[in-house]
Amino acid sequence: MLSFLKFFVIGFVGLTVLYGLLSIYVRSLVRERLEQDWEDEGSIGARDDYVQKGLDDYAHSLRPKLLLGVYILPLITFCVIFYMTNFM
Amino acid sequence: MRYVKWTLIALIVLIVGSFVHYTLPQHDIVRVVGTNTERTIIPTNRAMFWSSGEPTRDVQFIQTVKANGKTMEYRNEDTGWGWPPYFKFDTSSLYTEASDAESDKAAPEWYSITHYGWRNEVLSIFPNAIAIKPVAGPDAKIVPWVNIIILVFLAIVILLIWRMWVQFRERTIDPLVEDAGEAWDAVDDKADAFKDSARDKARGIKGWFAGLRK
Repeated sequence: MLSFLKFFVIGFVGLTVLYGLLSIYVRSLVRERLEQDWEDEGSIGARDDYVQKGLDDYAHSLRPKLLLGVYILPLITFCVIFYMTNFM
Repeated sequence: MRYVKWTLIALIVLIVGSFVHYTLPQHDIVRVVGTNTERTIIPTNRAMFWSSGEPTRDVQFIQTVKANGKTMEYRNEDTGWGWPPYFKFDTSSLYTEASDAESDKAAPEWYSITHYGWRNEVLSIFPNAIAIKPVAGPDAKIVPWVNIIILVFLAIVILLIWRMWVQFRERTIDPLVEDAGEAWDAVDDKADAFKDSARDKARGIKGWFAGLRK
């Protein structure tokens, strides 16, 4: 029972670290692309406003929610391995 | 220095390689000749090659012979929730299946045993059997799909970590270094300006003195 808890707690902490790092990384990519877009469109208006608006749009879109797959995919993998090892 | 670097790299590759080789599942095509349970004393310095538990306990073993006549012995232990993450809880069922799979030389029945770990006679360590499946014959080939998926996934993870690091350096560290460089240049310029003005002043004073002498 204790090792079961240990497995899930360590797994959850590890995945949370991964989730945090990934969301920072993807946000950074989005910001970089927005800055590039602003330049390509002819540098119209304030750059910071343009980038900030783009980041807000990103935050409200579906894409950051896809990162929750970081939790879901390992859970599915765990279920598959568990089934394959013990019941196949 | 170059030797130190390459020795270190070789060492890391060796350690990671051994770890992956020990942990990933492998398949042996064997004929099961027996199963037994043995009272085993596990030395503490080799405990990592066994499941966790009491150092003295009953361990189940599966004895097999390969097509080339060489022998192979497996231990049959739960991995439970620990490492490696096979989540094996069906040790008793596997023991029954292995006992049911026994055959002799005259009428051999071939089985594929999925296992992880190493057999080493000197250290008395055994691979842990995970599953047993009947196969057509001793030449049966098994495509290691699980290993392919895991290794591809590992490669993707390494690539991702590298890309994340590059991105972090480009977007966070480099601008900081640039700022520091600019700040340093500004200090430098100020110092130069101060030096110039001091020199001018000195010249002015010298000139004044020279004027006095005339």
